Amino acid sequence: MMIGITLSLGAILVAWAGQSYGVFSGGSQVFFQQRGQALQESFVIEAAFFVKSSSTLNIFVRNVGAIQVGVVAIYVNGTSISGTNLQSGGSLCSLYSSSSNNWLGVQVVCEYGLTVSQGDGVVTGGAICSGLAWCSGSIFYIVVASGRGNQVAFTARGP
Amino acid sequence: MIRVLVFRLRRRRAVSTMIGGVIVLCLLLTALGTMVFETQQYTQYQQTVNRVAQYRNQQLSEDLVAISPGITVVNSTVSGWSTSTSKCGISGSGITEYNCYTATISNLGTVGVQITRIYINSTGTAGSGCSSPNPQPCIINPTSSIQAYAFQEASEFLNPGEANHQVVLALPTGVALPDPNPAFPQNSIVIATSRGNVFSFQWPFQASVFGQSQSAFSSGNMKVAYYASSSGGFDSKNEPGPVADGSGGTVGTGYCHNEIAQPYPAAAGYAEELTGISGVTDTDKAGHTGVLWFVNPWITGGNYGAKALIVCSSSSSCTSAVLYSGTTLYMYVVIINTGSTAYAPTAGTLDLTWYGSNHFDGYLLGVYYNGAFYATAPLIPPGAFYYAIFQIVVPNGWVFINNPPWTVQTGSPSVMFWGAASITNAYIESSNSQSSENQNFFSGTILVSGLWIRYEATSGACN
Repeated sequence: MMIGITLSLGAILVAWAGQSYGVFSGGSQVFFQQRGQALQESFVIEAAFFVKSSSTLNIFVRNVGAIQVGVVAIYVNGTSISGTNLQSGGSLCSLYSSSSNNWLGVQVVCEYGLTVSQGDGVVTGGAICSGLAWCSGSIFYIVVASGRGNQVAFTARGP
Repeated sequence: MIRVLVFRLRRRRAVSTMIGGVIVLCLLLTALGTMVFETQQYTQYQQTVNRVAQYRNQQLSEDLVAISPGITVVNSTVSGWSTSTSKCGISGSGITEYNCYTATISNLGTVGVQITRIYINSTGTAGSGCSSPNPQPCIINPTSSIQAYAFQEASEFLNPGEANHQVVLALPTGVALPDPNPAFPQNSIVIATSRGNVFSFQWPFQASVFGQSQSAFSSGNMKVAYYASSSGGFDSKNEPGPVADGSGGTVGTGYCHNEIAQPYPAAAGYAEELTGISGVTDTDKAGHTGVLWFVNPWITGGNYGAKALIVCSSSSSCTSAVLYSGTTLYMYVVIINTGSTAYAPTAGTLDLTWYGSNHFDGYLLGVYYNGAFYATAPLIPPGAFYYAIFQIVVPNGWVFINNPPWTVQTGSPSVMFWGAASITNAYIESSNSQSSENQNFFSGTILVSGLWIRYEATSGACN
């Protein structure tokens, strides 16, 4: 009976330990894999230009990392850019979605057209116009975020 | 009986101990396997970290700078790029013409660099260069064959430490980068690299005066005038091509320049008419007195006429070089006050030098500011520019022997020389100067590219 008890307890202990180790190993594997991918991901906003005729702030995002990037969000002065604020068509890119699977490939550059309304007046000292209004001298703090949690920032001043 | 029971118990205990040992061993082996697995994972991760760190170091090691003059115009076929049907600055039947430019860049970094894209954003006059309605910015990508908005693919890689690397880029003929005179930067050129770095420069360049915050010397903008104070001398008023008031000549009538004349301030490439110069008595058809016609320091014509500005007695050395009797040579350079205080330029000199020797001396005659000549200069406010007009002295006994290079021409004149002349030891002394240390030196900052002054041993040419 003692042997039976010992064997049972041992089997339970080994199973529990194996499962725990497995969960731990699996978790750490996922962690290291994701961290590794996030580390290998690198992208930059290499240029930003205001286009008066179309009330657009065009930004050019280039993937300079070793793996493809999914640009999932763009923020301007803390406002998420989506819907009509993010122009489409032509050579413009759209945000990443799993359905369209539109990764930004390695060394590929993407142009995003952000709609900015043209405001009146001139602002100075790093101020911003209301919302996404573009006044002369107003500051646009642009953040581009990837699905792996990386982000790059760029500050543009309205001409 | 008791012995038997004890023995059996001991046997079972031994079995249990063995089973326990096996279990512990299993646990230890599992733990060990997990540790090995974790170590492998961590090692792989660490390798990725190291790789990324190395990449970051390489990113930080990139350093590109544009070399003066930054950008030059290309009017020729480009080796390995232009084809027989598409050329830079060359028009013709069946040929697609492009406005081509060469950007000169040095890689001061310690890693090789790949240029992936160039952006050009122009300001200034609407429609000029890369400004609306032309694409703004111009986005220029590498291509293997010439096309609009492209740069030569073969030139996209720069080696570590490579100097004066030339990148040829092509724009449509309708897109010409503004190159104002005086040289205010009106083009922002942004160079993006494959590692995500961005390097930029402004063109045209504005060079700084050494050691001074008071003013800056604007390179690439200088013109020359020559004026006959007595009969028989030569005047640059006859140099420009046909002008509105009819005062100019044409190449066909025997003049060396064929630039169109413009009143002050004339754009780059035009002959410029400055009025009210003290000591000059010429009057133009508009009734302006004291007129000097400043022409660009190069000669576009061929072998015309039979006179020379500078007369020498020998075809190999100019031992008795003089300006033709009664002729005075002038040169202006454009100075921009980039400092924070106004100042009045009060004096200045320069040496005009060919190949490190054989220089002419010049002294500041006065300044031309806001359309008027001042022998005694007014205060020049910050941000303003003026022409510093120097009077050039060609000394007797000026010697050259193959330096600058000369060549024998057929017909008359028999010999001409040319070369890249530089201004050295030049300075502008300002009203704020309290000692020589406040002189604004700009020595060695400019090239008179392609300055041609004809020379003939007997009689001259190029009035």
